[in-house]
Amino acid sequence: MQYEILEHPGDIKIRIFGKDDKELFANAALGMTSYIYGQKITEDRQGPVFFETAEIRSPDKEALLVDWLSEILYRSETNKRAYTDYEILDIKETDLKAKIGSIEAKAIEDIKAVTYSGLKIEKEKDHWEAEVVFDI
Amino acid sequence: MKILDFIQVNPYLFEIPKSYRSDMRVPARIYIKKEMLEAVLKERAIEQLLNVATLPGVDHFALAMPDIHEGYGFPIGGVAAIRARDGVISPGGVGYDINCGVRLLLSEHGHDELKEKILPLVNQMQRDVPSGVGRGGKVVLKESESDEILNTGAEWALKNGYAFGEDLKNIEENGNFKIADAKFVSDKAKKRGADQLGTIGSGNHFLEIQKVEEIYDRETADRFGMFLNQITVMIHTGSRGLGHQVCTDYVRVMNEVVPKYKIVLPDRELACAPFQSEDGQNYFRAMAAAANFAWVNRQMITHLVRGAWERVLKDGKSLKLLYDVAHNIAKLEKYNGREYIVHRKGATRAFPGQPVIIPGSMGTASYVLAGTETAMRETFGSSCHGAGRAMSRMKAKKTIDYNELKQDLAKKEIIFRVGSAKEMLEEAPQAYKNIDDVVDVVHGAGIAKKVAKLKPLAVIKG
Repeated sequence: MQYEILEHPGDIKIRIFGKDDKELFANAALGMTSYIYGQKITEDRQGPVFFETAEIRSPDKEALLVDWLSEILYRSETNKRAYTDYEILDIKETDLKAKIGSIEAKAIEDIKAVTYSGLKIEKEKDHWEAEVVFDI
Repeated sequence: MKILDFIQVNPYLFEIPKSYRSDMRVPARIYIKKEMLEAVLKERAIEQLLNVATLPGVDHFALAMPDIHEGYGFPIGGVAAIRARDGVISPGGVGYDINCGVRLLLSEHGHDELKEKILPLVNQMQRDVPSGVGRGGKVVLKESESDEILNTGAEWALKNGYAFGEDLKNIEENGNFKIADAKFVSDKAKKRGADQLGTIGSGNHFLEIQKVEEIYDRETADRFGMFLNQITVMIHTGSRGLGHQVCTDYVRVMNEVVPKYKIVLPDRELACAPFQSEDGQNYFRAMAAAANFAWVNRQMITHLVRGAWERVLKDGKSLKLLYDVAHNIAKLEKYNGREYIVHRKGATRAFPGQPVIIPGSMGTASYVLAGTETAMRETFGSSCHGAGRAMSRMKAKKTIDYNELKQDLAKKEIIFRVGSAKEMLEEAPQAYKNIDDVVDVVHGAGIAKKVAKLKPLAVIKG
């Protein structure tokens, strides 16, 4: 499983899984995209994919996850595109470099912001897990 | 946390003493009825309120209104007055939808006169006012224009023919938060808001035609220009993507600077900086600019609604603005000679005599109240902001039957123009606290007094 959408009293929470932190960050962005544009778009994307890069620097890993998702949200909303392809080229505690691909799409849900509320990133024995709450 | 942990101050007020948690600087107080408190205890909302009580400079109490529910950082329905001299300002105490708020337009007509016109009016309003996810507005801003809007708010709308002079007198801060400075709003935020002026958005935001169903205080209703069966229009929306980005930007900044100020926080979403610091002042100016954007947004929608009325009834000009209140904002206010930065997150300013507009959930009543002296003494001039969510969106979709909901709403004879079945379920009345209970608490506690009840006739959202 890449991610699951969980109950939250006012907003939405996504639990994310990955075999390493690279996959965790990619799946987090994918989970957010599938919420905004619908699950179908990430499973069966149509139309030409436009690739670009993203570089993020933050004070720590938790902030890196929030800033990374906030950047994707910003690009998605202003470019009116669904970001469906993620390749994390490099990730450290405070830095991330990624190649991201998007297609033209119409949003079906709004996310206002990525929050720190209840934010968790955990390295388990054989995989990574995270939880992020989005303000919707 | 249990109900026994609370001290009942009066039938509408409960307190958690400062001694409950070692990091609390002040007690926490919640305006609520005992039977409503049980449900609130199932969430993290009270824990979040106690976190607010730990903020540097917080004075008297961390306060919560009866529509309290779990948010991020502050609970929704939270109020904190923080000393301007030595306290902090926190973007999490305002929220992502900066100056989300409500305004009420009053017509000169009674329901009997307009009965046959409600349908054409709602159809015209739906055509003219963009709503729903990703729907852009009719005005796309150039950068110079965008800065003027952020710096001067509703003044810009007046100058450009989108407002009457009288409108501005009936908006909190006259729709122009003077401290605003576009310089502190990022290009990203400006870009996110560029095509969103004059749009409702989605979620719980709406445009509604209503009628005055009940008057509780005739004298104040007369002063407000309200009468029984009067047709009104309510607008509920905020600063859209621009405000969301301003908050995102400054939560990021504050998280970086928190260690510099040696502030210890129980939740990163409460990230803050001393109000007097450069970081604090920059956020205050950017937040004020986003608030101006929201006032212009609601003014542009007002302009579009007046246009729709003009087309259908030939009397768009007759729609008068009763008042426009912000319910996600931080304001510099003076109490007992001391300056405070009053954070209201899902709470409405309720100064004596001021109209306090409380929107209901979809298909339920809304209320007009009036602020009181009691609010000035007890709640830093604050009251509740709405029904407040009681059930998650996911649970609403799982447990509410769509056909039953449609039948229930049809019995109420309300015209619905809602984006999707999913949105109907998420915003169903069962998913929210009972607005009547929420308003009864603030009325009973005396922090705002009931003036009139509004029944929805037509709802546009999503």
